[in-house]
Amino acid sequence: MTVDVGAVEDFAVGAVTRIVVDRRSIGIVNAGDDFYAVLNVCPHELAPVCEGQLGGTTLPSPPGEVRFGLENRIVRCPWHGYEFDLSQGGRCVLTRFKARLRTFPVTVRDGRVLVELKRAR
Amino acid sequence: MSFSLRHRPGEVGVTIEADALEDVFEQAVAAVRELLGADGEGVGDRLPVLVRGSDVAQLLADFVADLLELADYEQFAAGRVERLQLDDRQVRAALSGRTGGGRDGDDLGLHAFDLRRVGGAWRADFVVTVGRRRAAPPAA
Repeated sequence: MTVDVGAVEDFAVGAVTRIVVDRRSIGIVNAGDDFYAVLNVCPHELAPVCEGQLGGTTLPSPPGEVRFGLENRIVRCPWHGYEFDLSQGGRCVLTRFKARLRTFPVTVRDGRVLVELKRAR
Repeated sequence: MSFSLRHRPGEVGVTIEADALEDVFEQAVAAVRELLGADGEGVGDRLPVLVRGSDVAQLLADFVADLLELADYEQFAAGRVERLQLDDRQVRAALSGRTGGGRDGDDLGLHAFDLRRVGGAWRADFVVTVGRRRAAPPAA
């Protein structure tokens, strides 16, 4: 099921816009050059993860050096602080925490943001 | 090979033990089927699942996550594994089950995942969190 959730300009860059589709709360993220759609549920304790911060995180780097990246692609759960990488299918950045956010494919066509809620068979 | 479910308020702990890794995946399907409690509902169906990951533990975690998503979004309750191809980087499976037998109205989460060798066998542990769906109003 493909859902038209709005025009590109409806979604501010660097923000999570929460919408309700099919009785589900879904966060739409405009990361600047990419859009993401994510279910507003943390896999840990079902927290409203989209109420958390959107930002970046520190990346693997050599000793004595700190690299920051993935800006606007990291969602941080407001309850326990788990960070999820939207560019990696919602995987937790802690590799031992195997859970992931539920994400949905997003396409932009003719200035509209389209979210695919069910997978293609 | 076997699985066990431990029901606690708001979550179900799952433990799977099997000699072969393929059997762990098979038992995961059986465990999720029992956890969802959807036996006998819906119509017979068959769905493919393809999961890619960096290691076998991640593959199993994503496989179980896919089972939960199929139940939630496709109302597909997987019944058994018809075919399974597994290597270090991907698992490809054909699942038979029932569409219309999935779970609706609950949010399902998955965490506390662990897969390890114990005394020559495989043991997987994970927790499925279950809560009533909360559809928040759109942000102002």
